[in-house]
Amino acid sequence: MAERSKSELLARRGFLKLLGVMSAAGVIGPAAGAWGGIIQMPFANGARRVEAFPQKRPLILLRTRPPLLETPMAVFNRGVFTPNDAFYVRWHLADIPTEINVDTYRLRIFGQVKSPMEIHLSELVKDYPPFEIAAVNQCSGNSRGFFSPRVPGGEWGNGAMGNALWTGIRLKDLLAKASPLPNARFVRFNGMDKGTQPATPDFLKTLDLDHAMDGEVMIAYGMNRQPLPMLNGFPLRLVVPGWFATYWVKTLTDIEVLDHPDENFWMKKAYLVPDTPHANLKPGEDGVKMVPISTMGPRSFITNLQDGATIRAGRAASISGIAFGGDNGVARVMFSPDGGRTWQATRLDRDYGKYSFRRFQTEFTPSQKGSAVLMVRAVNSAGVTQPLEPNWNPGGYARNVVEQVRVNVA
Amino acid sequence: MNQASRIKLIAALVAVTLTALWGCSKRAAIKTPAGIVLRSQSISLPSHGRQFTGGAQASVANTYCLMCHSGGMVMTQPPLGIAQWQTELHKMITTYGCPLPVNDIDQLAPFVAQASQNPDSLAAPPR
Repeated sequence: MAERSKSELLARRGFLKLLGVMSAAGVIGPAAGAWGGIIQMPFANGARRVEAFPQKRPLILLRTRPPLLETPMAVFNRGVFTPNDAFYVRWHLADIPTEINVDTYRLRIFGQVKSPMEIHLSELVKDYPPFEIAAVNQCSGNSRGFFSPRVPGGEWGNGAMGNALWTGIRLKDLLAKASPLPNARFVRFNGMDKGTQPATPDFLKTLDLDHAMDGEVMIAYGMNRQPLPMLNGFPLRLVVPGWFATYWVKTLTDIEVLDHPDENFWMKKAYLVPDTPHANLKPGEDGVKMVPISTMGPRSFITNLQDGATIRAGRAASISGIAFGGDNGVARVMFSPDGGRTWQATRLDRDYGKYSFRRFQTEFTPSQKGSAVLMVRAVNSAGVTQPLEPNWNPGGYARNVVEQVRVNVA
Repeated sequence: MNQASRIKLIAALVAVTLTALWGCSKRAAIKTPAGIVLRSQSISLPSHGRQFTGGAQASVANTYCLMCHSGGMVMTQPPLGIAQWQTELHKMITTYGCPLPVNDIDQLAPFVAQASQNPDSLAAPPR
């Protein structure tokens, strides 16, 4: 009974806080058309319009064409799965598909295979066993705006990520049908997006054949049991659980089996990270081996309190949020009420699988008035934990430092 | 074949039959075993009509930068030095195939360095 009324109270508070968050985050002005407010991200040149795109609620706009849309953090306080209309959007090349005919859409498998195939959507959904997995999709450059010193690129806050239940077919089943030849080593993926200039390199991404055949890499036609939004890759998108989203090719049309490493720009020159712990190097440091970005590390975020929130001394404060383990499940999430001096365990909510967000919660009672720094730190089931110091690299990739929320204790 | 896969097969057959029946009445709807229905769709993206203002370099930026992306890409960049912008502009030419003449870089870099930090330098074009 006490539990129930408490959770109701929390739910109500959550809603009030959401309104609070909007004002605290600097959302200015009333709705004009598709809202049209401004949000201030906490870094230089961080003013962002908030706009609704097709099939999307108002999201944080980084770029109109091709769209870069960020999910507001408040969304992550409302559940373990990110609603499709709130899911962030990231396209590289300006000519993105705006029209899909499911009658004529085809997926091709070719290259080093015995039986090249061209599959209609209706065959794809009926000829291969359905497969479902909950997995976090996170942009390699999520949180780039927090890099210090700053680096050019898509200047995201922490909202270039989302968690969805993906429904589709295993890539393994499809590749097995095409029957890779003995010399097959890699699998390259292409979608419908294109550049506007002839010399712009087409966006292609490649996985090792063994990885592609691991039974987890999949082709999704469903996202949270709905068709994918156009801006998230309708009708088909590659899902690479535990790996950064750069590999999750949208509007997937081509699967090419290769007998040699892929030398294309998007594998050889872009999305490279230093081959060091946490993809970290010193600004200006030279001669470090660079490798294609791959698996994600663990991250965690307090979602029910924002920077600048006020909590009461001598009263239990609830702390809750989301964590993910990257390429492994969340083993535990630790909470520090005092800027990292002491740590306490949190309770983990339902487990939706090792690649999913997982909610955590705990309570603490601040005794002293003044300011306090709250921190959370996830440890994954391989024992990998978030670093206490932020990483840096010239691409602005793979940030997963322990986050801090500064609150006032009154 | 175990019972689970038999049930899945039956479910799939039912789905296929229903899809076929549905197909008679309406084209372009593909029902998946998970109950997700794929229908043809199209969207119209918002306009990206804002342009750089303020002189000759604004016009160079409008000609070349906006070929591949809206001005917001420039306007959300952190404060970068002119040398960093020169690097970025070189990258646009050599990597992404932007037809900006290399000789224009020295004049364009200071403009975008300044414009990117000034919200007034991108505006809706006069009607």
